[in-house]
Amino acid sequence: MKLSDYLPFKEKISLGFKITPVTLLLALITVGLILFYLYGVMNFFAHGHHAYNVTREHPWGFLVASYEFFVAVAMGSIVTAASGIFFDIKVIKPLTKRLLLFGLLSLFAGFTAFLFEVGHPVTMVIYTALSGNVTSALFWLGVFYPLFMLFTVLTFVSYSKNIGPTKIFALFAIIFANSSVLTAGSIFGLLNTRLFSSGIFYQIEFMATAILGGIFLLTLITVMFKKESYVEAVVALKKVSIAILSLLLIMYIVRYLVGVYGGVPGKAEAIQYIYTSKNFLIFELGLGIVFPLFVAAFGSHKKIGMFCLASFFGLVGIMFSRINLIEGVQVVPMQTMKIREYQEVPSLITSYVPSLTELGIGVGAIGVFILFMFVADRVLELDEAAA
Amino acid sequence: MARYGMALDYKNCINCKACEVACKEENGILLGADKHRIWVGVNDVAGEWPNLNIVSSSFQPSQCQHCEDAPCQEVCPTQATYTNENGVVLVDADKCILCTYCMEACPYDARYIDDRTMTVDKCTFCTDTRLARGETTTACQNTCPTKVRTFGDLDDPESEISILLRTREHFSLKENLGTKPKLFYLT
Repeated sequence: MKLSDYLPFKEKISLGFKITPVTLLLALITVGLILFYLYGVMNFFAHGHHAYNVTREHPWGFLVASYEFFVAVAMGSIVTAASGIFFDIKVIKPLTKRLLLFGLLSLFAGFTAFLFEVGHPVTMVIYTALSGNVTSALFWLGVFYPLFMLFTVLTFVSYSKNIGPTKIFALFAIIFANSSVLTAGSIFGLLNTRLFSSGIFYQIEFMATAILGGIFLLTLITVMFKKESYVEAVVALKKVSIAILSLLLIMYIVRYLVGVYGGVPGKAEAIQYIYTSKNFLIFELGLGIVFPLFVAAFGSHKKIGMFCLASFFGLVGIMFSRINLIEGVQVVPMQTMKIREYQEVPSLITSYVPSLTELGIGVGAIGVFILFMFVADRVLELDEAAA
Repeated sequence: MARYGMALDYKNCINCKACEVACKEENGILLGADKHRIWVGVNDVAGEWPNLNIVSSSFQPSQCQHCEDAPCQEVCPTQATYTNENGVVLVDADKCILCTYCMEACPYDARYIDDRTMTVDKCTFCTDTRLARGETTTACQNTCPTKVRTFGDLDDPESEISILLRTREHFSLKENLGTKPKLFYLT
């Protein structure tokens, strides 16, 4: 039994690449991000959670947002590819293996951030198995993500080597991908004490942005790796993105109207605060939704150059949607009767700015992800023609 | 087996913070403003001069509400947060993974991170200190000079807390969330 029986290794493996101004810039950015990640990790090992700017009233920080970003991109990529297999969508076939693998790598990149968010990851594995709490959304996340990963790996191996029931694996990959993302949204949606996220908005938003994340990643890959055979799929998926972006835009508008004019204490303040912030208006709404929607709807229907730029900003927008979620959930503190505490004048708005360590791990994980993608591209045969 | 709760005659509170000191001393809580199991909130005088509502100013001691339907327990992925046989919500530090989901879920902001164990900590009604030694009061109750706090078994009709709750009007915090808190504010 050899590894090559299960994985589509290239006949000739080389980690070199042609140096052009673009590839050189990409390489420098990647190295910079990885160094930033290492800085964050070293700081974490030196100071632990004290290196984070999280507080008693703002216990979740940037790393949670970063993790939620990566798993969304993973879900979108894998669901797109697995749907292509299960429903026999010809246009997706050329990029199936690449999307499956890059989705998996995005999951790993997410875990490289999450690993440093949870205080005791080893204890988590042990006691989730020994005394898991079925009423906790976080417990179900721990159930669904391993299954999601398992069936994605099985789909990838099965599809690459033409062994086993590929369609069944793909179906389970789709089911568990959706379960995982719905559960991730439910972590926030089921918090009835946090009115900003309580309800069904974030389950649907997570699903929608996850699919978008997959489309945006595919578009970037197509341009980065110069894959002409992927263009047809990108053009088709661009139309899907118009529907999803429009739906998101409507959801955002309705949420604002209901949230602010509904005037529910604790909810209205949080929504007003987030919806009037630069992070929301410029990044989440402007660059993340309106710009990609405009380009997808009114740009060239055959060329993908502008849509590639829109995809980059779209991914930035998805990252900011997670940051805004984390901030919105915690921005109105649970003051109870602590109108003033220890003679400190209380704030109605909890402030949080991520520390350099958090940024290093959370943003640096993007560098780790790019490195993973580069190595995978060089080591494995990911294009359909050679399968 | 008991069902412990606490009644707070909060209008008697003089904000001396002896309860906070006693809690820290008895339970070995770390020093620092953000490391506390119990606290005294201060309601400032409402209104604008000269129309000030003087009686609106009050001191409001609080802590973990030991909810019967505790949201912190519901979200804990490893069952590190649990309710013991006496209805006290506790944290098993060995099982705590420091995901801080319970801190997000608690509507009362009653939890904090103990930097020594790097796990989430909260009020225990002195379960592993005073009650374990056979005492019948908590440290905060025992030290209070104006007898704000009354701790006891809600299931015992003859306990002081049961008599208080039968004879005095009271309210609980954020009752609309359905958490069924076991801290009662006497009016």
